[in-house]
Amino acid sequence: MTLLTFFGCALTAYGPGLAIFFGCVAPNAQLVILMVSSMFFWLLSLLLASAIWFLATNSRQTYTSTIIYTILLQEMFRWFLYLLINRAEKGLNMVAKHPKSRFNRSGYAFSAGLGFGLMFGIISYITQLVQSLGPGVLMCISCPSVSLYFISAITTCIITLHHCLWMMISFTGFTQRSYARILWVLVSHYGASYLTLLNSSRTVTLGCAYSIICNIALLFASAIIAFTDLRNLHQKFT
Amino acid sequence: MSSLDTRGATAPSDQTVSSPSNGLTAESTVGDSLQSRNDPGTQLSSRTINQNQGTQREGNNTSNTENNDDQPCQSCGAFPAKFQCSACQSVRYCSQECQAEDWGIHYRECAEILAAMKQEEEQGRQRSDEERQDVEGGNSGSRDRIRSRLPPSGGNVLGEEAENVRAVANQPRRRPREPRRRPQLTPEQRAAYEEAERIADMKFYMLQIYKIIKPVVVCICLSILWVKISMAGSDYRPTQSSYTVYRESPTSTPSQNFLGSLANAGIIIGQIVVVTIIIVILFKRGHIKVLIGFFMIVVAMLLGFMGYILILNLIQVLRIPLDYLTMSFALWNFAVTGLLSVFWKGPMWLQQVYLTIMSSLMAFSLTGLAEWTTWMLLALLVVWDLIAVLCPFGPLKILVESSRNQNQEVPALLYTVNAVWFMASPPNSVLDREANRVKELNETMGASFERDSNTSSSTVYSGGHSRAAGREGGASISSSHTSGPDPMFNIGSSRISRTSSTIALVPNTAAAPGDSNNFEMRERTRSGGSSTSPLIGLNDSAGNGAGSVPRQPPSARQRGDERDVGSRNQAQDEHEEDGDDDDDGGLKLGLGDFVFYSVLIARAAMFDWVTTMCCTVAVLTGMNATIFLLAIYQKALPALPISICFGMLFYFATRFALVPFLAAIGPSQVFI
Repeated sequence: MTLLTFFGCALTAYGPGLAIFFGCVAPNAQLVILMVSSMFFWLLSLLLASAIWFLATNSRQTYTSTIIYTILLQEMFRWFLYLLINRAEKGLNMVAKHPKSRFNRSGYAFSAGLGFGLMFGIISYITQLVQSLGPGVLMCISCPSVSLYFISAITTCIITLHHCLWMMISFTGFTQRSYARILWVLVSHYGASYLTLLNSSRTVTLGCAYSIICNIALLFASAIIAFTDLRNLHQKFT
Repeated sequence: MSSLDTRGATAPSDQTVSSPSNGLTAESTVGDSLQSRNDPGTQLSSRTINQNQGTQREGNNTSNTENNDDQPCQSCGAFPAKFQCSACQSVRYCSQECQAEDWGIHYRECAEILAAMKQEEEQGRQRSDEERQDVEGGNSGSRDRIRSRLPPSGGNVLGEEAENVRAVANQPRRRPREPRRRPQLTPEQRAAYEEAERIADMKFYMLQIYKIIKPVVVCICLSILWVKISMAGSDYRPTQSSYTVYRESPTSTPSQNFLGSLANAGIIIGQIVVVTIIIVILFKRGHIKVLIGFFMIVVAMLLGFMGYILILNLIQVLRIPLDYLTMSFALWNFAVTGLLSVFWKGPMWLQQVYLTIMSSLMAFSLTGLAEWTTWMLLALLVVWDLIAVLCPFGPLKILVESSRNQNQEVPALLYTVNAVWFMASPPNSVLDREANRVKELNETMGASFERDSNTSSSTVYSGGHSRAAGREGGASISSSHTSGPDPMFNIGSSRISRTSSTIALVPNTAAAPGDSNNFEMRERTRSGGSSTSPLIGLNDSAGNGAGSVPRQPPSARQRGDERDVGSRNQAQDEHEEDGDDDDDGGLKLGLGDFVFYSVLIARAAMFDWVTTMCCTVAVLTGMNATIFLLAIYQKALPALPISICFGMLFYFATRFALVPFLAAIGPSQVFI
């Protein structure tokens, strides 16, 4: 059972991300390199956040405050990454398959977002995944009939996809100086993160289900925004 | 001398798929294929057709306006294409942007056309007399011109057209003696060329990074696997080496630990230094066989002993019932196959697999070191690497220089992107081969030596190196990294001398040692079929081999095929030219770098999964950064410092801040 749990959870959490990686990103050298550097950026942001957490000894257990600065730092590093890609875009375009394609930037944003997402998935879920190998099993606090590993796997998967879309939306936002998009990314990021607090809530019954459903709704909203942007990009020039 | 000539010839090959050709081009296409079909059997008919073509073309030459409309832009296919490549004058573009875009593809053709023209200029002088005897005076000029303009590497040739092109390429190609118009570069054109070169460079480095990342990742994953297996309750963990003086114990104070591990690491580093210096001296004196023997012993011991320990681990942890006889049989085969494939010959993928496994085994053996010692050792290695590669009298630098002077690869363990070059041939045979090479080169493409001043005299490798030649000739601007006096290099050596810790760009060595192999392989693949060729390829699509680049972008593969066909056409009478194309060096990463990256990550793997992943990302980022620096500085750089510093920084940050952080938020399923 533990081995089955392990593989099921691993594929649930990382399957979509890895499929996107091997299908879309891995064949392009520059996207892979971009992805590695975006993973590095996400890691830097999280290390800074953990340093703050380490220093703030009093509020270590209050997750609400931890989430505030963690996500703020992530968004800051997203912006730094945008600045970096902006500077490197000429070079990246030169080696791209279609150097003049206007969708290049969306592609870079997507693979950078995938880097964020995969690194997020690895860092926040891999410990639990290894624990799922046994010998015992932990149950989700708000839904005691489902194992914690599976709920976490689903959440990881959703947020991994979230990261791809957030990166695309915020790149459009940074480029067009559209503050609404940046705000949406920030708000939905906070929303997604605060929703996961329901997982361990003892007062809300079936909190994990609400958390997952609301997260999926957020994902759809972000997807609609991202695809509208892409369609606009397509129509503007044709 | 307009570009039309070539256009006609290239049309069947280059743009079979989508050539928006109007009547004239189509006609000349037919003419050419007719010509090639008839040749060499019926000279007369083909000659008349050629004659027609020749006159037609000359007619076009006079009227330039007509000329412009005639040929589509090579890049976007639009009309009118008013500009032409000023170096080879064979392709046309509608704008400089298009030219810049196409330059990454065109520069090879350009170089080849130029080389062919030069060569034919030489040959034409010699043979024009005998030619006159069987062809009536005036006709030879036009006919020769047509032939001469055939670009050797036609392009995306399919089916029978390949036959045609090859048949044409087989014929003696000559060039009339009328002086070629010198390309006159306007500043904009010059800028466009520079831009194009930058693009080609960028592409080159991107692909190199991409190709080097894969084996590094595999090696790291293998080391993590070994560590995890051996930590799952095995009795056969690699132990601390016997020559370490200090043994850490849980009760000792940090200062004791620090000093003791410093002593331990100092001893190991001392061994590395001594062995490196010995290797440098041996190499400088030319005792190559001693070095090769030494490396063979090292590899055999590594594969044998560490393989033995690893198998014991596997057997115990996975509870495999296995008798000693079977195990020793398997181990013997494993080690001997490795030895043979690495030092003698074997499929390239096998060599690469063995190199990767060897590195991970070495890293596994180093996990026996105590923790403090490991970190101290890595820190000292960074310093040593910096000194050895960058100091004026650093041993690795000396090694690089003497290898350059002696025109010889160092027989160290390098992982090349394109292939694995281990063996340096003994000096005599190298010299012989070099002599042959020089002779042949002088015969076939002697003229190109005149052009490349820096390649003509001493460095034979770069003389025939068409990347360099292409850069210089094609663009008339001295190119970046191939024009320098052999900007190579790499090597290293360590305690047991497998720690070359340099990253190196070797655009044009590797020719000599691998030459014979190269040729064999090529012959084999020529019969086999184009897309599976293991060695044929250009530098970016190089290593078409099944093992080395499994997921190649289709365009690169296509170009590889294209190139392959091209070189086949060309190779019939002149092996040398494509020989030089193929063994484009590419990036080389010492196996020592593999080993120590893996040591760092294996050490992290002994702690925690999160730490492991963080260190992996940090090391890979450091490696990317190093290669980008390599692209900027164009000289041998130590590959360890950035990666190891990142890795160590991330290890400690993760261990002391991130892991507790995650441990706090993980169980309550808060995702940030």
